[in-house]
Amino acid sequence: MNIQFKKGVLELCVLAVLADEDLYGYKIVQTISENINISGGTIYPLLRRLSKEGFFETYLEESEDGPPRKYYHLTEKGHETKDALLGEWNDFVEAVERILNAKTEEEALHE
Amino acid sequence: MNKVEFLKKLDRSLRGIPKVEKQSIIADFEEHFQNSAAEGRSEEETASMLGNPLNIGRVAKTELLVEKAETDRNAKSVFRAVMAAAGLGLFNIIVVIGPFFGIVGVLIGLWASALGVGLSGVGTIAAVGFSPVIRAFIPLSGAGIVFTAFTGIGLTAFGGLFGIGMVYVTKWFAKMTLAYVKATVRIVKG
Repeated sequence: MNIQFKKGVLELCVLAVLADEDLYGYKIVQTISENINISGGTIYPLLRRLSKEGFFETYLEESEDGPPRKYYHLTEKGHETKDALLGEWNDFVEAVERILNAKTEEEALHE
Repeated sequence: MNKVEFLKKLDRSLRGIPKVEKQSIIADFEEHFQNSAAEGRSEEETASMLGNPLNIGRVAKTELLVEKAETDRNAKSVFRAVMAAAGLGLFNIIVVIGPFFGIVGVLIGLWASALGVGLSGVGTIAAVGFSPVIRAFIPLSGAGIVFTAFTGIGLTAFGGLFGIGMVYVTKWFAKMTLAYVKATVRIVKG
């Protein structure tokens, strides 16, 4: 897949992954890179930036099998941004589909 | 590449950013390696999933420097951010670095002009102040002195306005530069 596509939606993906539950960095990276082929390391700078912008709060929690983990929790602002981005994404997908469908219909007419 | 090598490279690419920020970034990756190991992944496997540490570090550093420049609002910070961005080797930034320095040169030239005009005005006013002394040597009419005084005031005012205009132009240029760097780094490298 085109790298620009991936980068563009990465922010939405991170926000969406955290919308239902708090997760630690490793889990976020894993969930995203399981589905999108991207180098996981680029997600950490994004997490830092989104935290600074007030979309997440972080807290440490002890784990059974090792050192404490840093959990990310989506704030009210984060939820609002996620909803806004999701809306934009849906509009965009619809628009692209309309164009693609119009094209196929046109091709069907020519046949 | 194992964990130690990965973290060492990351550390090297983050040279020059505040220690607290650096430690915090490295701690994130250390934690990642530990959690990955807990799930039975080898360090090599984890490192290859994370990607190139030099790249990750450079992007993180550029973002930090851009943020710093936005709060500092001084020329040095803007230059550091631009140079860090240029270090990423991104085509979008390499192609504008020449014109960028060209515009910086033009701005410096214009600043010098504003300063020159302002100073010549101040100098003219000073000369009028000393006119009794000058008149002892060079014959000058009263009307000539009044004219010279107004010229001096005019030049000073023009230099001042020119300077104020330059403050706005320079600020605007710095803001545009940072916005461009930020957008490029985010779009191309995430």
